[in-house]
Amino acid sequence: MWLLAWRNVWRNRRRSLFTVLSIGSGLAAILFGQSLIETIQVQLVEKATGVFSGHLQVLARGVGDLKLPDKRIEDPGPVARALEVAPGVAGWERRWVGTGLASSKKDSVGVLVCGMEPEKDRTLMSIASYLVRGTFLGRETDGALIGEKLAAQLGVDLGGELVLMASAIDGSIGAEVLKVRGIYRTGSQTFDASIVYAPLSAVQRLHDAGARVNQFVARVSDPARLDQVRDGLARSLRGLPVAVLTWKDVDHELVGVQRYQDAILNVILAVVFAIVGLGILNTMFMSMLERTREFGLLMAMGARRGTVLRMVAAESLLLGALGAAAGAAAGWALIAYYGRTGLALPVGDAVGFFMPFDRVLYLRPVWGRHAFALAAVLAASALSGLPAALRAARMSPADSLRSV
Amino acid sequence: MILRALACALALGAAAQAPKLTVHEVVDRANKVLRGDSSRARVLMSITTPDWSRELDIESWNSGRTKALILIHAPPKEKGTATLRRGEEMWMWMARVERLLKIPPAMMHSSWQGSDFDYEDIVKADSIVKDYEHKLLKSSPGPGYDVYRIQADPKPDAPVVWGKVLFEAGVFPDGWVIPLREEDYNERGELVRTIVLSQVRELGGRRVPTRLECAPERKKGRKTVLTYRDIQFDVNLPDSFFSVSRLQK
Repeated sequence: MWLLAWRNVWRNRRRSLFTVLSIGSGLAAILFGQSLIETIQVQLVEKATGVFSGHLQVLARGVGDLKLPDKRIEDPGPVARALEVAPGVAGWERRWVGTGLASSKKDSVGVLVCGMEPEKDRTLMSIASYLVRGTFLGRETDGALIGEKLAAQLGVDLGGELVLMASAIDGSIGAEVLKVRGIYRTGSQTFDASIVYAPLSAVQRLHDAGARVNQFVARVSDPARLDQVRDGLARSLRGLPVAVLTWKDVDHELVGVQRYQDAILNVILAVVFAIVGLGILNTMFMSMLERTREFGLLMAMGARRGTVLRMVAAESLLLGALGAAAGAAAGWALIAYYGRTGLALPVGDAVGFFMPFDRVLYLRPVWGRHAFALAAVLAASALSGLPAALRAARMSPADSLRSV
Repeated sequence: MILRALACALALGAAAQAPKLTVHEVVDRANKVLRGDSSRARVLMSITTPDWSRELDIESWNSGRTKALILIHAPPKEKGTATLRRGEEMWMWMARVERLLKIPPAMMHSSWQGSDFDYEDIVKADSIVKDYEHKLLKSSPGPGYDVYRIQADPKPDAPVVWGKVLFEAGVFPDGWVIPLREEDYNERGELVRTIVLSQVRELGGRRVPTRLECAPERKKGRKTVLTYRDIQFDVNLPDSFFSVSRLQK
């Protein structure tokens, strides 16, 4: 039976080639689309969490504004010790984040001041990799990193002076004079125009906060296990007046953008899936319809209807398998190629105002989804030959033979 | 002789009678009472919040309605910090880092030194007089003065902060006016803050309220109290006194 089906596949090579090509290009398009969605999502999250929010945050319990904690952690020691030994945590740092006014001789601008630990931040977060000029912060306590846009607005350059002003925790107005050590470009207009990174000690002085912090930021070794790491850390911090949150709790905009992209891209993918499915159905149906006379002849020679049906199903499955193999190879080649060289898409320009995003996407495979697409295409191919075969099997051999 | 004395007394009584003040004049005089044409004052500002409280020893100078200088003497951490207003513009000298800052428009609504007043309050100190239409709601006799309750509604297109201000002033028989209470409402008609002025006594040769308490409506547990300890009116302050270059010295 399989041998007969295999021979049938090669009897009309051109027809079979078109069918295989149709199935293959459809599957390749689906695999590429799946990879594109995953890549956009992963790169978006990696960049946004790497620049500012981190994977995990520990905040004082009862904080009203998660982005700008209005409550502080009075005793950061126990939290630091818990993070040091927490399983799944790749790195962490203490921070003080708050709003303030940055002014130069030219202008004054409202900014978000992020006090961080430079030696930890260098490997923990990715802002060091976005420096376009100057150096990252070192041991000095009066350095600052600012975005390209903020530098232009304030008219300051490397070595230039920046005065930060903010409300201290006792209600007084704190002020610090910092020197610009580095200028960064994340690609996000908002980030590049409004975040000042400075050593934690300087920002603690600015707010008269002593050794207090208002945020711990951590990255996990495996983002897929984020929730488990969060739960484990929350258990080890039980009893302390703090809360452990993931970037999904803090970065609602990011989750929103992710959902929006997901919805749009999934609709596009569903349309592609439908077109591919209908294409396969059409190709198989037409190729089987062309062979109605042949089926009639087989039945006239004594072949049973079941035999014809099984033969057609085997043929469809073989064609589907060939097409799927070709599609998987083409899809994998595309993903591998763009995974290495990168695919320049203006996604960053679209979302860049709100959050940083790379201009170049490096495609990555999503094995689970790919396996599903492969199985679906294979099943669709196998089943789509059946309607024509059923029709032929239901006709009498004489009618089938009369069919043109 | 008796008749002459009586005539004299009647004449004096007539002289002490207040000229009939318009509502606008009442607001104008009340607004000016703690500043005069020019003045110097020493004030204790105490700020209370649910989380912290602090006291500032402040010295302030005013000239006309457009120039003001506020200097902080204590606490030591903020000693020397000064705020200068010239017209619609403001600067701050941050003594701690010895830097001058021009207050940007975005910061005008920020709290001044953690108090319940913002920079806009200093710049728009006379806004109630020039940017609002005034309407007398009622007048009733008070302790030694008549209490005027006045409603101030913004003039069309005036750059105002409040949607409505309810104002109470005490008008003495001799025409002297003191502010007693101010209720500031937003554009939706919600009460935002209440300022109560009290402890009227002679200071700098004038009857002035020496205690001013500002309580924001929505921030429970917060209040700012100004206690005037000393005021001198009609002091000679040259224009250069309010200059940016002097601020840095």
